[in-house]
Amino acid sequence: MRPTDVLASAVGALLSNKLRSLLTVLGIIIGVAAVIGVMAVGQGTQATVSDRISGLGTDLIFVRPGAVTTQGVSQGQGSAQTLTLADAQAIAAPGAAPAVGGVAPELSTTVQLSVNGHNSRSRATGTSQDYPQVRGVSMAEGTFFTADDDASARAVVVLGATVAETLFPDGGAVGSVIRVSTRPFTVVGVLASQGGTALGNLDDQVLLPIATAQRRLSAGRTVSGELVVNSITVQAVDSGSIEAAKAQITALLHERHDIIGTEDDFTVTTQEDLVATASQVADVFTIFLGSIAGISLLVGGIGIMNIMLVSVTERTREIGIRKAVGARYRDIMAQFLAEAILLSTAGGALGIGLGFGLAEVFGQLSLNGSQLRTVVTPGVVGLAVGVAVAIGLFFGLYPATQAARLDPIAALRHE
Amino acid sequence: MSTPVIELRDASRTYRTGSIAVQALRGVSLRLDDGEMVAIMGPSGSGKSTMMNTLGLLDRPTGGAYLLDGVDVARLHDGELARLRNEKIGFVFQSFNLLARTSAVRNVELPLLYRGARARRDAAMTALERVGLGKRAGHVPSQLSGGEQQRVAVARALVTHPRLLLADEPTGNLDTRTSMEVMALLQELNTQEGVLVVVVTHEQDIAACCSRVVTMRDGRVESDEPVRERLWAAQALAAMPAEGAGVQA
Repeated sequence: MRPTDVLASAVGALLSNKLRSLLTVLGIIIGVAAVIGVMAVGQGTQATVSDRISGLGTDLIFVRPGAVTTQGVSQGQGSAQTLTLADAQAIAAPGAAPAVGGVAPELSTTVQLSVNGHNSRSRATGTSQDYPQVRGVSMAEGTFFTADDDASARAVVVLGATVAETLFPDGGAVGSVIRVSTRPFTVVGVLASQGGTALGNLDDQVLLPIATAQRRLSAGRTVSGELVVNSITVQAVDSGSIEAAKAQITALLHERHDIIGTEDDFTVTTQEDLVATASQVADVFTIFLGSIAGISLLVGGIGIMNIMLVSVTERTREIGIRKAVGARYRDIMAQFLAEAILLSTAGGALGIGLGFGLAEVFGQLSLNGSQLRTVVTPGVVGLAVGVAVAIGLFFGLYPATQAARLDPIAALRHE
Repeated sequence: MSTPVIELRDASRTYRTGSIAVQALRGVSLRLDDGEMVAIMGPSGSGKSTMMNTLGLLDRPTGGAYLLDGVDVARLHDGELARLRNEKIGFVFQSFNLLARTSAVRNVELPLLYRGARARRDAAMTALERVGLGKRAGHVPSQLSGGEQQRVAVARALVTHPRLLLADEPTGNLDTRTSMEVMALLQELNTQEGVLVVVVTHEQDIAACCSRVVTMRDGRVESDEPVRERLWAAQALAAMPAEGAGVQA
């Protein structure tokens, strides 16, 4: 029997019982659609997280203090006050770490801001003049403070977009004097809106020189009297130098903190590490959900097998006739296998359509105010359809064998 | 002396169901040649059906030999038997055995499909016209009368130009008139093309249409005689009072 004839005969057989064929493939349709829909949400979430981490800037390395352990109980990463302004300055010192491009230490505290009857409670972050470059932020108005502002610990402040909106609904922020925890500060610039990132909302904060922050707002000191910082964000000179910069910073801090063989009192994490960790979580999640969706594909396959077995029984006489006029084992086998594969392929194709629809619907949803993103990749579509066809082949094999094995005499007598 | 189309040499067929052995054929020797039209008669359980299945290569003898066109079928595997069925044998069954929900012409095409033939439609149409159903090619079996369905089955049997046409109670579900129509068709094939036609039947009228009658009893050939006064179905039809088309049984 010619392959085209096998196909035509299978199409004919399936079309002669349309409702049954449709119901049979429903399981596969739903399975494929579920796999595509779920994977789309998983991969979309992963893409969102990656974007947010990338949104922090490029080629970044995050240095944070280690954990404080109080009576054997860890207080969590970053709780220790072991990272100092001097550490940040040592990293930034020319020649100390050649792979380092920019250094932005951060010291944050919450402050009350007020001007002309408007007020806001926001985060105030003391940092260096490298901040805009390191974090990839741009100015909406005015300028960022300078190294000189920092050295002189001037009372200048840069407002985040939301803060500027709240305090100066009519604009005119730059040049005005606002009260930061009762002290007067001059606004030198307003940041362009950043939106949410992996490290929180950067629009609801004000930035000021770190020396100013330490002198006027939150003068945390270590036991030895050094000025502490919450974290140091470092930018490598280029993408190829990230690992080198990480190694240089680690070595430098080991030396400065006298750590030989003992546990580090700081952590150095690259942006890639963050992306990798986040992706790993998202991957596990996606695979878990995808497997559950995959089970419905399996159930769909069993549905096909069930109907194919019923069909073989119903068509016993037809099989007998075909054998009498010269159909061989493989002809009957091919015919029933073709029907099973055709069913699962058609189900796969319809499932892709429904899957894209599902992804589209999920993409319209929002969770806690943030838009759910969905990404349908060709790989997932290929996988789902491949699995569907394989299922058709696998579950079609048994019924097809049953059909091909029928004894023609018994089959012809079958009522 | 040419090779006979069918040669059975002491053929036997034993069925085993558990410990019980049933001997359906007990040593049958028979030669059937081109141009013959042979009726196989006998009561139920005489081995007619087994004989039919054996001749049609749907079953194999367990003892003795069956040579179809000089080829011993005992050595052939299932695939080769299927190919021989397709090439050399045409079947006509009592219950027509057409594919439901499949048009007449597609039913006739079926044996050609398993040959891998490309241009099937023309051959199928020619066969249908030959049995007088050219105009009903697009009808499915449920839209055809019993006689018409059987004529489609005959067309399906002759479309491959077989050497042997096996008819198992071909008129069992038909009334007298339609029975004669079908027999006239078989006789025409037999006399005009020399096809060996083997008809299994209970009915004397049908056997009378043949040139030779083999009677079976208990798995053996009881008698094997030529028909002295052959009944020509076409003449019988002409003599019948005019009537409507055959009524489906």
